[in-house]
Parts: sequence; structure tokens; C-alpha cells
Amino acid sequence: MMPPGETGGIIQSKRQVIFMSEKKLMSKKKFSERFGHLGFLGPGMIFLFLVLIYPLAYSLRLSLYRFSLTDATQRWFMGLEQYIGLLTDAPFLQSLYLHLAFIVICVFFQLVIGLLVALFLNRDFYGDRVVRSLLLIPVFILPVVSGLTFRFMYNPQYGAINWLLGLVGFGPIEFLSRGDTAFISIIIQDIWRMWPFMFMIIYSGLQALPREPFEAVKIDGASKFQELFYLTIPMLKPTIVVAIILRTIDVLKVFTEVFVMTGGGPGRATTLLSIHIYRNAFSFFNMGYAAASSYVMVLLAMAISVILIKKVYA
Amino acid sequence: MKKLALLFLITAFLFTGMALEVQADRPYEGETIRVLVWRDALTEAVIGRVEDFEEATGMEVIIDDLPTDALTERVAVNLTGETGEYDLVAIDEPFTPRFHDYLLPYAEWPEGQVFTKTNTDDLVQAAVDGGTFMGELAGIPVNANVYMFVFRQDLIDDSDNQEAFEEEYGYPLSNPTTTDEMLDVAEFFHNPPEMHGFAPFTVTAEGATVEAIWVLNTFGTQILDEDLNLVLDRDKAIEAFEFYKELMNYAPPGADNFGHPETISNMNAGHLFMTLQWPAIIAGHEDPEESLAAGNLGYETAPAGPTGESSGVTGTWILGMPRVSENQQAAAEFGYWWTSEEAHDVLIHEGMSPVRTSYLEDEELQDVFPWYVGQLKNFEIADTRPRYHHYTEVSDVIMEYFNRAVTGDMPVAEAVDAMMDGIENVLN
Amino acid sequence: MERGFFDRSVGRIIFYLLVLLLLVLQLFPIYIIISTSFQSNLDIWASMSPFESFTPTLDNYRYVLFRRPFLQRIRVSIIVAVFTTIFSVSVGALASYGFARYKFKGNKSLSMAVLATRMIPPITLCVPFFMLMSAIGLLDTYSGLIIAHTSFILPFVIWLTLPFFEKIPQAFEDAALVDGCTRLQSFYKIFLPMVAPGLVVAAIFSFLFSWNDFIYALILGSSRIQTAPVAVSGFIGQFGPEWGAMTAAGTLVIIPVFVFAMILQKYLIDGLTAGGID
Repeated sequence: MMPPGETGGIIQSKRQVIFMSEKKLMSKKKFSERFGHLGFLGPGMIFLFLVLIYPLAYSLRLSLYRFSLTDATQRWFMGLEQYIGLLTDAPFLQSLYLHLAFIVICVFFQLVIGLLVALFLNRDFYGDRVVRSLLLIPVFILPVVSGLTFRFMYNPQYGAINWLLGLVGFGPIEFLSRGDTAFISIIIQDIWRMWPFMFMIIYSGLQALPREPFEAVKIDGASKFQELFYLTIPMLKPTIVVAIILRTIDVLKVFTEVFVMTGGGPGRATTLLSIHIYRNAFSFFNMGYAAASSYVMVLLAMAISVILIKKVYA
Repeated sequence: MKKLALLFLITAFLFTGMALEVQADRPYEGETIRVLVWRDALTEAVIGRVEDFEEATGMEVIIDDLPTDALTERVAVNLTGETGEYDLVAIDEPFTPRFHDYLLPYAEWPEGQVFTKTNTDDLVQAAVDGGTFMGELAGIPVNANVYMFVFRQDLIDDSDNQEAFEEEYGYPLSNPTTTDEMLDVAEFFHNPPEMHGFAPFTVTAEGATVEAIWVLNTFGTQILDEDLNLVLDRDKAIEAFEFYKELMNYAPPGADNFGHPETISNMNAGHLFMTLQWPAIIAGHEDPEESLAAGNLGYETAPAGPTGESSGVTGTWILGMPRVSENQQAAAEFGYWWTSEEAHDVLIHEGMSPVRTSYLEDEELQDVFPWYVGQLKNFEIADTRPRYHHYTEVSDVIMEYFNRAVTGDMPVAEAVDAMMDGIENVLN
Repeated sequence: MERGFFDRSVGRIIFYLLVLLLLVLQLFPIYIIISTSFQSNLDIWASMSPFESFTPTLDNYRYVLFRRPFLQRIRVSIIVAVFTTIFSVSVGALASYGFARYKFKGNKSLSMAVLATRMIPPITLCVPFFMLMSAIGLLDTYSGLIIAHTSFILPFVIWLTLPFFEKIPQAFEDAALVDGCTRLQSFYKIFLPMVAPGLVVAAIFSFLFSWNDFIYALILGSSRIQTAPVAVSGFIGQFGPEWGAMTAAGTLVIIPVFVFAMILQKYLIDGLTAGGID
């Protein structure tokens, strides 16, 4: 990692260190130690403050107002009433519920599938590296492209998924036209795209597990199932928890795939919280309401993260 | 030396003269205007030719085009914020009441220096009406858009079809002129998956409101009168929605959430018999490279309802000039150019739909663009949507309950009642 | 590893069959994207089967590249991604260095706070960004979008580089300090060259995350600043689902991602766990 040619000079310097006075070294360190960090951290922290903290504060203030961007007569101070209103606002609660359900279902299935496949592929076989790389490809498809492609595949007249259904004897299903099937459809898209992500994390975890315990239980005569449930999974627990945390944080941010696939429809069937905020902000221009909903979402994100992280370090 | 000086003076004089002459021809040298329009084949054609206009006037034109929903939001933010960012904004007919306060009335637009101020008598009357609110035309009409009834003429002309139809229904096959005939014809031709009778518009978007208004008008009821009273006839509304719900039986799969993309793919693939459609999209249906239905379409007024009246809906656009624009003279020129004969001559062959009546009536053009005939016919019977400052709120109510009624999500009567309640709420 | 069912000969065959099935299921949509991009709209609408024979055509690509301003959108995406990367990596590396090398009160808390910003869903920042940028006149500008992208990519760079930086022994820089360098000089001459590969990885990820962004580009951009992902969604517009064009554009947009993913294979997991996709 060292650039060639400079090794000699530094090593020579190192020898010199022993002869140099400690004081000189310490005093040099002291000055830059006191203020140097400001120089290094300064630009980044100032930027983040301006670009994250300030907007969040602005958003908090905005969330206390009813504020219509396009209708100047609809702007007044509401205070906490806005938040209390959210508690009884049916569309908001519905979107919140949809989003949470989406998270739980997606992460659960991604975890289960990822785990099963990781266990399944946890052996040496011809082409294993290639297979793993290929499986990971969907993770790199832009959410935009993934969402639109699934929308195409779900089409009842020329979509590939309906064609597959036709092969096994089912009629075409109007996936995105009906509320219940639409919600399932967006879940399937997310599962398809991201379970390999869980797979890779768990697989790495599996690979890192020590051999001895497994050999020990083999000698003890444990069955496959016992080995799986009493040894493998408990040892994987930290990995699994990390995977869950990461994925949950990401699924909470979901917007694009669903937006391009259904736009939140039909009706409100797939209007996740993120889409609900978007609609209120950029279709109805109710900026105050949108800011308040956003804040609830941020707090939710923080809460989920804290809970999950606590579980890791518990 | 003296000769040289003289030569120099003469040359300088000539050059100045030329420069002055050039100035006179291009009086807007150095000026820039910004225009905001919607995005479709029509504006694409205009944008493609804007350099002609820039050449003639010397000004620079920056045109921003957006999909219609994004456009309305942008216009709203821009006008209410009075930023002066745009010198011209495109406004869809139903939003004229909401925005007209911010716009300079057409009557007050300055005379043009390069192009003559367009005389509104030369433009399609419906387009002028669409842009007029409280007696004032709020801008220059640029799009004579009307919702038209379109169907597969070739399938009607087919003798086998004619025989079979007459046998089954007892009367000769022709384009449906009543709503009952419409149902018969839809049923006759409905043969999934190769052919479907009718393509609805059920996505909860402005298009659904247009659809709802069409069917309500066809059954003889308006929604609001000029004094903004709710005059919707409950029984007729129920009848109208029940009719539409029956039509849905003859629609392609996914009918509960059907919009432009679905109609286009069906019509162009030859899987659709009839629907209501906008001219800009019809141009695509008639493009032989994009559509199997090209050359086979017929245009008439939509079937009449029990009252015997046929109905249509207009969707015209104007270019409005914000009062706060600082380039009013230059912006006006752009409007005049767009609606001028010179521009029309070139642009209609590049995808623009004419707003000058003479072009729609020109027989040679009608041969090339068969739907012009349909447009004219439909303008005679077409209606506008409710003219109301808070139109979007009313529209939201209409589109939601129209959708729920015709998809069976809610019993029709209940949906109509809910719709009426919703509109009452908005009016108060 | 184990000698189980799958290691016997019959089991082996079944194993490979299952693997094949898995691959087919996962890669099927990819096949759809690419094959559809070579079909004409009429062919696409004609049948459900993605395996029905069709005459392949380059029309979609020609349409996307020449008849639509898609190349301009790509250009916008590239410019935004490059500047975001430059800014994020430089400022981020500096900050990471500050965290790694300096002991001061609140070091741990501040770095955790920065890493915690990753939890913030982008849509929640969109409202204030839109309002604030509208007021300053940064809407629909390169700067505005670059700032928005940096807001989430900068913390990511810090997250990615911090553990890496902390592991580099301090001795080499100390030696340079004793030699008479300032902190900054030791940073440039000693430290940076050592961590260069890590920075390259960070840069590539930064570029990819900026390239992939949809939501900020959608909300903060309008008619002038349209990025490639937003343009891809534009093909499924109100006037026709141009699936052929959309898949062609989508394929073009994915190519850089794949190229970089190939380059970065080794560092994938680090990056994926540290950052976020959209």
C-alpha cells in the first residue's frame, strides 16, 4: 500500500524519531491536535449541518402550519393540532399501516429466502462464484427500471407473468388494477430484487463460522435439523440481525419502485407513507401537512433503528 | 489619403445602414422569453420549428415542456408566486377560472411588430370559449382540443359483420348513434382477447372526470350551472353511470384502472373497436408505423343519450401571459406566430393540430388528416367542464366516485349521492 | 462441506437443477428488459409470451438516443454524479480522517450522529429541500441536485472510509510530522496514497448512488435538469406506454452500474452494507 520510493525515507525517519526529543514531537502534536480536527471535520460538518440539520429544523417549523404553496389564503398557524390531526387522519394512518406491513412482509420473506438459499449454496460446487455473482444482479437494477419492468410483466394483456400463469393453467390476473393484488405485486417486486442482498450477507456470515463446533456435533451424532436449529442459526444470529437492520432501514425509504409501478394506486391500495407524503406535497401542495407526515416518518425511522440496534448490542 | 478616408467613410456608412436595416427586421435582438407548455406531439412540432421564429424576430425563446399533470402544478406555483419566471404559460381549459386573475387579458395584448395580432374570429370558437372566463379571453388559444368518438370503420364496412349483426340484432350495422346501439355494437364486436368493444377511462385522473362529464351530459344532466349551483339530476346521473358500467363489460382486461397507455396499446394493436379519444392521440392511432388501426378509423359525434342529444367535451388550451412578465411585447409575438398561417402551413405537417378554423375545414387537409372532420363535428355539440375557481377539488370528487361507481366498488346510487355531497362540500 | 443428500450423484443433479431454476427465476426479468428493448411496440403488444419470435430491431435504441433528448439526460446525470463524487469523497475523506486521527470530546457521538443520518428517508427531506431551494433559486439547477445528492452520499463516504482509516497505523504519519510536515502535508503525502484504493471504491459507490437517484431528481429537477432515471420513467408517459423505448433506455442506464459492479466485486458487500440503494 505504500508508494514505492518513500519507504526508505520514512523508515530512516523512524530511526530518527528515537533520537529526536519527545518534547518536540509532543508539542507539534499538541497544537495541531487542538485545532487540526476542526480543519478536517469542518467542511463536512458545516455542510451536513446546513444541508441536513437546517432543513429538518425548517421542516419542523413548517409542520406546525397549514401551508398551501399555491393558495395563499390557506396558510395559518396550527401548532401541535397538525400532529394531533394526523392521529385521526384516515389516509395518513392507512399509508402508515401499509408501509409498516410492507416492511415487515418484505424483510421477513427476504430473510427466509436469503437464509434458505445461503444454506443451500453453502458448499463448494462447480461455478459457485459465478452463480453467486449472477444471483446478485437484480440488486443492481435501478429501482426505476425494476419497477417499470415489473409493471410491464404484470400487464394482463401482454405481460410475462400472466404468460407464466397461463402455462400452469391460470387465467390472466389484473395485478395492478385491483387493490389487493397490487399490494402483493409491489411486495413481490421488492422481494425479487433484494433477497440476494440478504443472501450475500448471510452467506458471508456462514462462511465465517468456525468449523470446530460443527465437527463436534457431527461426532456427537446430531441430525441435520438439530445442527441447523441448535447450532447454525444461533451462531448466525448477529449476522441475521445486521441484515435485518440494514434491510429495514432501506425498505423504509422505498418510494421509486412503487411510484413508477402503481403511482400509489389503484385508489390508495399501494399508497405507502412515502408516496402519501409525495402526493400531499407535490400534487396538493399541502406543505405543512406533508412536513408533519415527514416528521412522523423520520421519528419512526429513528425508533425502528434504535430498537433494532439495541437488539444487536443487547 | 483623402480618397482612402472617403472610401472608409462610405463603407462605414453602408455598413451602418445595413446594420440599421437588420435591426429593423429583427427588432427583438437580444431579448429572451421563457415559455412553459405541455408535452405532446403538438408542442413537439412547435418546439421543432421555434428557430424559424427566432430567426424572424431576433429573440431567443426558451421553451420548457412538461407532462400535463406536472405542468399544472408548475403553472400554479409560478403564477401564485408571481415570480415572473415565465412570459407565457400553457393553461388547460378547466383551470382558466383559477388562474385568470394573474393573466393579462388577450384584449390588452400589444400589437405585434413582426407578426400581426391574431384575430380570434379566425380561431375555432370552442377554443376561444374555453379560454374565456367572466367575459374576458385570458390568453391566446393554441390548442383546439376536443374529446372525440372514434371507431373501426373497416369493421363496420365489412359485409360479413353486417350480415351477422343484422341477423342477431335486427337492424343494420352502422356506427352507433344512440347509447343503446352503442351497447349492442360493443357486445357484438367484443371477442376477447383479439377484439374488445370499448375502452373506458377509469384511472383516477382528470381523464376520468372528462369521461364522467361526457356520460352525464349524454344522459341530459349538467353538474354546475353558471351561478355555480349544483344542478345534477340524481336519477339521470344514476342512469348515466349504470350505462357506463354496462359498457365496462366490453372492455379489455384491467378496465378498472384503464388510462391512455392501455387504450393506445389496444387500439394500435388492433384489439379495440371504439372509444373516446383526444386528437393528439388519434394522430398516433393513424400512424401506419405505430398502429395497425391506421387508415381504418371513423369519426362521428358520440352516440346520443335518451334525450336524443349527443355530447362531447372540449379540452382546449391557451397561452396565458402573466401580468408580471417583463417581456410582454416579445411574448405576444410568440403567441401570434404560433397561431399564424405561416406557422400553421408548416407545423400541421409536423404533428401540430390546427387552431385556425380554416385549416380544419380545408378539404385537402381533411384527406391527409381524417380526424379533422371529427373535430369539427364534435365542436358543434361539445361542452366545457364546470367553470369554477376551485375546479380541481370538484374534479377530484367526480373522478373518485365515477371510478367507484363504474368499477362496482360502490353501488351506483350510493356513489352518485356521495359525489353530490362531496361537490356540495367543495362549493361551501 | 457436508456430505449430505446433495453430494451423492442423484442429489448432485437435482442440486444443479435447483440452482438452474433459481438462476432462471432471478434473471428472468433481466431477460425481459433486454429482449423487449429489441422489439417494436406492435410486437410487444401482440403477445404475452416473451419467447414468441419477433424481428429484432434497433429502432427503440435509435428512437431513445436520437429522437428523444435522452443523451442530454445522461449528460445531466453524469455531470451531477461526477461533481457529487468529487465533493463527497474529498470532504468525506477529510472528515473521516478527522474522526479517525483526532481524539476529542464527542468524537464518537458526532461520528455516530453522522452515520445515523443514513436512517433519514429521502422523501422527508424533499419537502424542506423543495421549499428552501425554491426560495434561493436552486430548483431545477445542477447545484441544487448536487447538494441534495451530497446530503446522503457524504455520510455514506464517511461510513465507508472511517473503519478503514482507523485501521491504518498512525506511525507513518507521526514519522512525517517529526520530519517537519504539517498535519495537512502528512495527510496528502503519506495518508492519501495509502488509502487511495479505498477512496477509489468510495468514489465508485458515490457515483453509482448519485446515478441511481430518482426521488431527488424528480422533485428538485423540472424541465432543464432531468436525469437519466427520471427520463426512463418518462417513456411510460400519458400518451402511450413506450415499453420498447423504456427498456432500451433502462438497459442503457444500467450499463454503467454493471460495469462498476464488475470492477468492484470484492468490495460489494462492504459497500452495500455501508450505503443504500436508493
